[in-house]
Amino acid sequence: MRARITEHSGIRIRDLMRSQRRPIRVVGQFATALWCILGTIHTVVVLSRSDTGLLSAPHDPPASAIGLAQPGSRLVVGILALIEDGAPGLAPVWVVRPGPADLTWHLAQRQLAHLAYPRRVDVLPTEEGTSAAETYEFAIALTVDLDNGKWQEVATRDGLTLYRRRAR
Amino acid sequence: MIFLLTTAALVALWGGGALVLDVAGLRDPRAPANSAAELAAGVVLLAVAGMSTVMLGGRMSLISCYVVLAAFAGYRMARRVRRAWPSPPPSLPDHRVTALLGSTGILLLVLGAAAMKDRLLWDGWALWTFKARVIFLEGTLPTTLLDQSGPYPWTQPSYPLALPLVQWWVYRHAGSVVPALASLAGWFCMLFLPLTLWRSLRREAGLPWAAAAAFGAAAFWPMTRFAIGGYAEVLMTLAILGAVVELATGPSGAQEGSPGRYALFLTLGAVAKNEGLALALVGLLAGAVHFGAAGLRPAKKWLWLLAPFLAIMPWFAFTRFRGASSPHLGGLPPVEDVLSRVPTVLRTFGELAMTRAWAPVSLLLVAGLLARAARNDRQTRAAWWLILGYFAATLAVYLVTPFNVRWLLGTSLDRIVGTMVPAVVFLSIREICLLCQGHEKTALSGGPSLRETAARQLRAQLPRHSPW
Repeated sequence: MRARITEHSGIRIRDLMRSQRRPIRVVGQFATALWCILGTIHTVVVLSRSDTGLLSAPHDPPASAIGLAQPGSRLVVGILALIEDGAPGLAPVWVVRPGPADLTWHLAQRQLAHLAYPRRVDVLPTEEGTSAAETYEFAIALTVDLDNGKWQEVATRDGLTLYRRRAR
Repeated sequence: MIFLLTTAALVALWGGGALVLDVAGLRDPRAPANSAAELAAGVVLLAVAGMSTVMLGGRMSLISCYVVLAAFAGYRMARRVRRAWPSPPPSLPDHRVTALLGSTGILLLVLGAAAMKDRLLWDGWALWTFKARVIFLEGTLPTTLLDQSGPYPWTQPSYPLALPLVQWWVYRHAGSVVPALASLAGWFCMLFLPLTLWRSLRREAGLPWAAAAAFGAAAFWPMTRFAIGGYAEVLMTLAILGAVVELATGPSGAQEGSPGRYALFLTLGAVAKNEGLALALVGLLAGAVHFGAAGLRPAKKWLWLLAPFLAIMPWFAFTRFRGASSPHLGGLPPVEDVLSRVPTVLRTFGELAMTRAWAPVSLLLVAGLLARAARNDRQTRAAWWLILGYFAATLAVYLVTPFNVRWLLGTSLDRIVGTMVPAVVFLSIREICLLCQGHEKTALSGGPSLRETAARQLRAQLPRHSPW
């Protein structure tokens, strides 16, 4: 009896749905049209933004390789330019992170690792980098002055300073 | 010049895939997902060859890739198999369809222009395109990148290499490691999504529906954003859509090779991301029932359904042996933690489902499910189970992940769920249109199902004035 009731309930649901095929079709058409319209508006808005859009001004070659709309990209551009100009070879570079590891520094770490490869560029706070200082021949600092006895200033750019480890 | 070489590389990848698909006897221009399958074959072949090369300590080279393709071409010519595909009757699109298709084309070109500016996003920098750069410079992935405790722990060493190898392929042809080329590669793969929706819906749902679905897919920014952002989600989206289309439209006698193409799409997912393993597992269950009922020989059925695992297991074992592991399956949290996450996960998903261009997809899904409830069609049942099973597996990961679940939801839910949107749109529109056309597809049995027969018998037995 219960199986009959369940079977019959299923039949009634199916018949009910079939009788509503026109409203279902209308809802489907409305949803599809709305999807197209809202998607188009969203895409146009995103592509029209001055920082990420198609109409944004062209950037310097190093900068154009990095999404400038992302935080910290000019930081990455400056660091890479300093390395290219003042740190020959492939010796590892320590970038001194002045504060906590926030989104900007996390992204900067990943972009630097990508764009500087095969050279290692590690973003570390002062304490961690100082304890591993022997690993790095070069260091780049933004707001922190490194120990003058151990590090020699080589170049500056956009508020960044490139240091070279002094020979013992 | 560099963009011409990029175009040539992507066309060669697609053409090579078509060649391989043809040699395997799976190419059928009548199949709606045939074009996507051709690209999938190229990507899968490149991924399997590349991962094998890395595992064996070799170096990737363009010459060796083209030697392999030349071998396939030689074999194809030696067989001299000529297949004649009957061309479908031409259908004249009306103004709406022409306008929609034209708008789709223009929109895709605009998105291509956008991809030529720097568009890489987080994982594109840190993970996928980084590996492509390394393979370009070194010819392989060195030990430092395969070591989870090494200097690059964020690169997820356990992840398969399909997308990095596609990007490497483009870089090698262009002779340069320009991040914009990786974005273009993602854009190219994304082109096959509106194309597959158009081809899979135009016959049964009609040209206007098919054109609208194609346009909607092109205009869905959450999908485009990650495709040109250098993420592997574009390959997962292609894999899910292709697998669902093959389940829903074949085998119907009109297309050959449907089980093989279905397995190919599952393999594409498996070699693209770790989530592809979940898709392959769910796909194995759905396919086992679907193709078994279709009368496919058991040996052939299981060979196809196990193909994704055969493709990815060597890489899986290789990376696990080196200590890499999936970051989300590091051990089950306590049961109370899992249960406490359920409201957060469901609420976040609900918020996403009601946001901007996601809301219409949710409404379309509801309409599609209502239409499904009204039809007794075993043809699409397996496809729905595939989508729902994969969705459940995805939600389960959020419940057991060792990471902060709010952070993980905020940074990944839209792109993970976005991979299922084209397939959901296809299934929903198909169900609605077939309901309205009054089609009762029971193609597998060729007649009414057992349930329908029992229902009719039950109705015949009921008294005339029954309260039911």
